[in-house]
Amino acid sequence: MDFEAFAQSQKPKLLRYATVLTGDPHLAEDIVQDALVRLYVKWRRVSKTDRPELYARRVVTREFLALRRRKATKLTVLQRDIDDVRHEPDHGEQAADRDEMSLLLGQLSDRQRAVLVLRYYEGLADKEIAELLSCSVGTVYSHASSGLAALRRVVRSDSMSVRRGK
Amino acid sequence: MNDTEDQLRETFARQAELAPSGDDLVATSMQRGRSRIRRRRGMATLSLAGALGIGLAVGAPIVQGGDGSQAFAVEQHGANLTVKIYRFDDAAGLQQQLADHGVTAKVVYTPKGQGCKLPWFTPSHRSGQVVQTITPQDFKQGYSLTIRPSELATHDTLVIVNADLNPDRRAVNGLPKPHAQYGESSGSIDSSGKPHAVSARGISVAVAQGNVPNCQLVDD
Repeated sequence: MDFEAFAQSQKPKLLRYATVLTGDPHLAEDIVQDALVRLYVKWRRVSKTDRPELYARRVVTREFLALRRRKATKLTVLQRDIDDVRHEPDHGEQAADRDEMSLLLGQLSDRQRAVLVLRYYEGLADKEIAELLSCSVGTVYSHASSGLAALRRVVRSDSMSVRRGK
Repeated sequence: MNDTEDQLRETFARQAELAPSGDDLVATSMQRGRSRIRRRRGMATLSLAGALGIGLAVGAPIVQGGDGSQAFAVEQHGANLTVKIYRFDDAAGLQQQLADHGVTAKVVYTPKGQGCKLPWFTPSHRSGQVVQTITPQDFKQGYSLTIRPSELATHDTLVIVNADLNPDRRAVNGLPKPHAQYGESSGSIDSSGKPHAVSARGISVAVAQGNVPNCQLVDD
């Protein structure tokens, strides 16, 4: 398969993956473009690997992690934003939960977020995630556990405060 | 919804729907990729010319092959790497590609009539294990080397040089007299003889212990 055919076929998946990873469609497009440039330069080698699509995902993930390091950006969420969502009167309870989850994900570390996205969006096994992130399975498990625990803590305390408010 | 993991899946699915279409993404990426490759090639050529202290014209093709634009190709075939050299050009690029495949290499293309000052490096006895085959076939088609990177020791350096290693001549370009010599035919190297270098007419490959210093050009 030539690069163009591969890139066209993978583009939608990579853009969706990057959007989930970053939580920002514009940033996702930048990341995927940078990743495709890298893939194009190395295409002769990449095309001979068993799963070039997995390699492409790895490059996108690395671009995401590198970008966050370079710019020292963090998808931090202002407490005010969270409060706005929590008390948004026009949303149903479930919708508010989802939006809140979306905002809370921005408070996780880059690697925690990447692991959760790869596990729960891409559906990869921890072993595959470890290969993709070039780390051990134990590290993947640790990031997933701590990430989930952080989310559960906030969601639980929020539920309790809502119940108390009621 | 109580389950955090289900909530996560739903949140991710919802975020994925916001993904952009990226209409011109592939075309733009290819354009940027081509520019990057051109820049790298330009830098590699300048770097090689600078290292050899020669003008760019000296690096003119001496063998033709491939699609006419590439000087070399490195392909992974299982545990082996196949290195195809179509022109003695872009040594730095070949070195980089080999490095990308985990092989520390020194590639030197000397101008005609010149070699590297002796002694150049400390040879290893692993050449025969590392270099599986060297196939000149036809000068017009370039050379094809089969290399097994797993046979390289941690600090070994693969040396590729455009040298005629003729057993009847003194060691050229600092390489010891080869134990294996191939004319224009191909074949596997017998590693039992622990050759120091493997050569075909016009090219030699050796394994050096440790780093290989830069080649100091001298008249051959």
